[in-house]
Amino acid sequence: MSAIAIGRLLRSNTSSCVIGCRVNQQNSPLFGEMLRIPLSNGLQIYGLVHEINIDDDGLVRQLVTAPEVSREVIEDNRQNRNMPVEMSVVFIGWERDGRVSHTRVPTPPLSLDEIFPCTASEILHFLEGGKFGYLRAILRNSELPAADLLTAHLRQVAAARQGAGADGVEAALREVIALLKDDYPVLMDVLSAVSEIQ
Amino acid sequence: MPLDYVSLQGQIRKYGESATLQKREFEQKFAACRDLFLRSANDIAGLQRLVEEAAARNKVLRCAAPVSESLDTHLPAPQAPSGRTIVAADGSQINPDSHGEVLFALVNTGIFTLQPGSGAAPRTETRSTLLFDDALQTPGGTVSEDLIALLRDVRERKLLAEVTKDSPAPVITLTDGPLELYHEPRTDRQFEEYFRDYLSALDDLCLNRIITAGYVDRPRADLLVRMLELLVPASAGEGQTRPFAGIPDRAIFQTLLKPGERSAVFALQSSAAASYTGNKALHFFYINCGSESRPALARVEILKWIAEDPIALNTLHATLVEQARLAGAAPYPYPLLRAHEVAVVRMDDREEIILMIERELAERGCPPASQSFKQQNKGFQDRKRI
Amino acid sequence: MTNSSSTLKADNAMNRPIGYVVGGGLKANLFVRLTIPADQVQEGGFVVLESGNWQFYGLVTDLQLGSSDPRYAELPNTPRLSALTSRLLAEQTLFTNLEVLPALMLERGPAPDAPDYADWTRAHQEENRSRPLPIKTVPAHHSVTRLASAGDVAEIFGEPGGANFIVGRTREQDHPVCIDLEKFVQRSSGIFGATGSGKSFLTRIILAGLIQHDAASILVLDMHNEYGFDDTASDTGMPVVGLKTKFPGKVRIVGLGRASTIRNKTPDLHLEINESDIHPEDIELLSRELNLRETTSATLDALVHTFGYEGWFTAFKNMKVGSVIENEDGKKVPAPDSVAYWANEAGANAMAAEGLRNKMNRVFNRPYVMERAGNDPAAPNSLNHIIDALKAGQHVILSFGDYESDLDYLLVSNLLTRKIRETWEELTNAFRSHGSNEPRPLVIAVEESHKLLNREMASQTSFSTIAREMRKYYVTLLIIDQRPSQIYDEVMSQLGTRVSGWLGDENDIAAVLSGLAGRDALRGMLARLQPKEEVLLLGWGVPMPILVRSRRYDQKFWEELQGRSAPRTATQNLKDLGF
Repeated sequence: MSAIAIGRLLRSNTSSCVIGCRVNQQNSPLFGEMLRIPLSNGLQIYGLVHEINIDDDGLVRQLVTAPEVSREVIEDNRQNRNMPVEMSVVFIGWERDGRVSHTRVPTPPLSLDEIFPCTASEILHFLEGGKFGYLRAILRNSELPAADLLTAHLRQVAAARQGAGADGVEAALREVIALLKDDYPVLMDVLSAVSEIQ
Repeated sequence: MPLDYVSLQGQIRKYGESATLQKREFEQKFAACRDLFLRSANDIAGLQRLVEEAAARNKVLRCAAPVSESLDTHLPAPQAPSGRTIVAADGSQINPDSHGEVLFALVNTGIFTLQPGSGAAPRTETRSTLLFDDALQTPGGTVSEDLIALLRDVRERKLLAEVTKDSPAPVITLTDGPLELYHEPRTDRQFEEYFRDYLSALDDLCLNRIITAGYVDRPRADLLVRMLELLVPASAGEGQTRPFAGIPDRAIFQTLLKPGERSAVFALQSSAAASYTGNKALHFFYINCGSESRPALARVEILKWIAEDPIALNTLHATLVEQARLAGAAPYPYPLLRAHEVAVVRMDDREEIILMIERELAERGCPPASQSFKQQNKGFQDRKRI
Repeated sequence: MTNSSSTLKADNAMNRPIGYVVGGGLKANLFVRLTIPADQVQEGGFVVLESGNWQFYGLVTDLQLGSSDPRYAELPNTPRLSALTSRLLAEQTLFTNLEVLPALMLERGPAPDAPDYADWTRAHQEENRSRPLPIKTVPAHHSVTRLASAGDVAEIFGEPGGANFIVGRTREQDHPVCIDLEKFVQRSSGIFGATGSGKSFLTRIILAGLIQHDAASILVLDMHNEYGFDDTASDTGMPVVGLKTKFPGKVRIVGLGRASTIRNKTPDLHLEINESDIHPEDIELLSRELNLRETTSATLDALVHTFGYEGWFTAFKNMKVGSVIENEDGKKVPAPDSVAYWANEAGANAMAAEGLRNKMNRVFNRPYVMERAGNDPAAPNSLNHIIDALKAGQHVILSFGDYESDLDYLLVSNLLTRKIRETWEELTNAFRSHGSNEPRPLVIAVEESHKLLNREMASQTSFSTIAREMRKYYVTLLIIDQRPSQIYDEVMSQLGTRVSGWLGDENDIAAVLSGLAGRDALRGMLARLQPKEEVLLLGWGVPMPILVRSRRYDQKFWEELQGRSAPRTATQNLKDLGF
């Protein structure tokens, strides 16, 4: 995601939410991307995008029936048109008064909120709040695509920690292994996906 | 049981019977009308005279008048020149809600600029205008939806004039609907002011030789048919039923225009249109932007100078066909589609603006009065989980 | 009161943890999870487990590979996983456990800066330095485990110097391991190892230590003429220094027989045996050798009865078998100088006696058995000479020279030992009742001891008596053998200190471990010792079993032993390093 999106909460609880918003291809959210949602009560929620549903766009359906699609129309759709998107976000932590916590959020977002993609320094700031304990929330939820989500997330972490080399993700990998040690099939699934990173 | 289905069934049956009758009648009428159309196709001068005389007699006459092409003209789409810029504009509005938390209105205009053949991504632009306080008040009370709609139209036109000012020719501007502002004639000052602005914008466009057109999709007009009715001698004293009532122009042109073809250009005869003077005088033509299997008739309103400039006219013709085809199964000029998309105000946007206004007021120490009872109740229906 | 923790702390800084305790118990062994790569620890390593105020000392007896789930161990991950991921996964799911045989525990108290230090010091005011105790409890879960430092080794086995003789060094870190020679000579001990495992070198080292320290006199029954004069190593061809060369004044080499030469050198003494010294039991000892029959004891008994203890041998020797004369009737009757004649007279069975006489020819014919050795100035009563030398504090190496048969060995060893036993018993009694000087302790080093100390002989020889009882009389045995399984287990159980090199035979291994409780863990270790390099020190005479790299018997050894006053102690080394 490259810009602010105004999102409408379609569903939300203390562990996740679904946000409806309009984005175009250039600023559409990325799977596994870390976002922050500042709430009006001073709380800021951090989450990871774990699913992106793009609703059927009537116009595009129509456009593809034309005998030709001109270059301009293609570029227009790529760069300009906003699509209705439903982002599913799993919460990984929150922050109040500058103090980050990797536990369940105290209150979910309630209405219409702005959603910001996290910059590298914001990611680092969030990570300082703990020792990757939030991975528990991701790995223990059987409805999430844990392996792929973790891989995308760790890629982002590694990029944010550029220069720290493999150390960047080592602590995270350790936590993953500690959490999933007793579940061999899931752990191997996650680790082989994550191995794609380096 | 919300409806009385039993009795309705009978009533629906009657509807069907009536429709069948209507259809037969229509077919008869249509045949006659078409026949007349073809027969009088070349009598341009005669028809012009007829219209002039009828207009003098009947102030509220509203019909077409031929210009120079025979009635049954149908011309294929020419080659479109290169280097065109197409600018489409559309608008949408939020009407003032006296039951809401804050009183405001919004006019939102969307501009879509496309340069066919350039390969470049089209540009979009949005202009939003918030109306509050005095802007919402008229001597008669809170401003009406109509007036806001008028403002919207004016904005579109002015914006088009503004953004095309320095563009290299040829430039085509499109709006949805007729060029003629169709609003109940008002004599209040605000209306007059807006109308003057509108005409002034049209003047600017003319001055800059911007090919300005209004695209009417699924036209219901019967301007040509009314003109043809003038040829029919008035039946003596038998009520006021028109000979070709219920027949729209497009019925005729559907049989005439092949895909991509345009009809003759006609002038618009109407008292309301009289304000459009000189180069701005309103003209129109019909065009089939569809395919063999599915014709898509549209009525395109243009200004006089375009009607008299073959190159401009051809450019417009070619552009419309080309752009309408881009939309695929439901032909409609792509730029207009997009301009509409850009302009449209959604529920989320509306709510966001309300929130923003409320926040601003709250910060200044004058929070809005609480939601009206009605509004609050409406809000409750959306909650699914307590 | 010294708090031993201060010295230990300095060592601890140099010793990083190698793991932590995860399970096990007193009866079974303790399990330690390794936190360093497995190839840095080996079986036999001496480790210390720190738990609260106590330190536990143990021996690594096994290493086991484990995994939190067998699938992690079975699956080779590398094709699927990146190198980093594989490593991190292995760190958490694959591990190696040490099995540690705990032996001793030592209370060392809290650190000086700990809150309970003052209380503990006060409570333990009365005691001297705490001593290592046999293990009675277990360390806590997660107790830090490390390799033993020089200080730990010194704590248990003593600091080198004085009576503490370095017998080898720990394999991991080269810390010196000592045996207390004063205690060593107070009980019987054994040196074991299969042929070629370096047993003789080990023996030389210990003998050298004993002679140097001079706490006891040593009598070496050198069956293969190895220890006295310089020799050549059979495998390397290198020269091997003899004990005589290094201790010229203290060591006497005795050769069996008048004209004996040992390795082409003349011994200090020639040993000849008086016929009068030979007792019937000495002959019975040779039953198997001489293939004697059950009737032998009766015959010998009769001989003694007739001729007395001192004369029977000579008399029997002079009898002839089968000599006959004609009597008055012209019948052939046994001549008066015949065996049969005597037998009839004595009431013994003539045929048995004749049989015995024939078989005993081998003994009669020994060149070193003289009717009266005492008269000859060249070999004046040499048995007593030997004993006198030993009493006077000298060390004797009895080399058997050319007389390498079992018969010689058995006969001479037993005779000599019998005399020694008698002498030392007298001395001890004199010391105890009349207040004379305390007898000089004596260690008899016996090669091929299974020939003298097997089950059959055990009851008969003086050796088993010595092994069982002679501690009280200041005589102990040093058994050197490659077939410990053949040694009478009662004797084996008397051996306090056992030094063992590599053993291949299961029965031999079991024999070395016999009488030591709970040492099953050491079985495998004995079979896996590096021959000529490693030995296992065990037995109830040793604080705890320990695997050491044995000392080399070379120039350096002699320099350390004799050249300098004492080998450098661990404390001296630490001082040099600035601690």
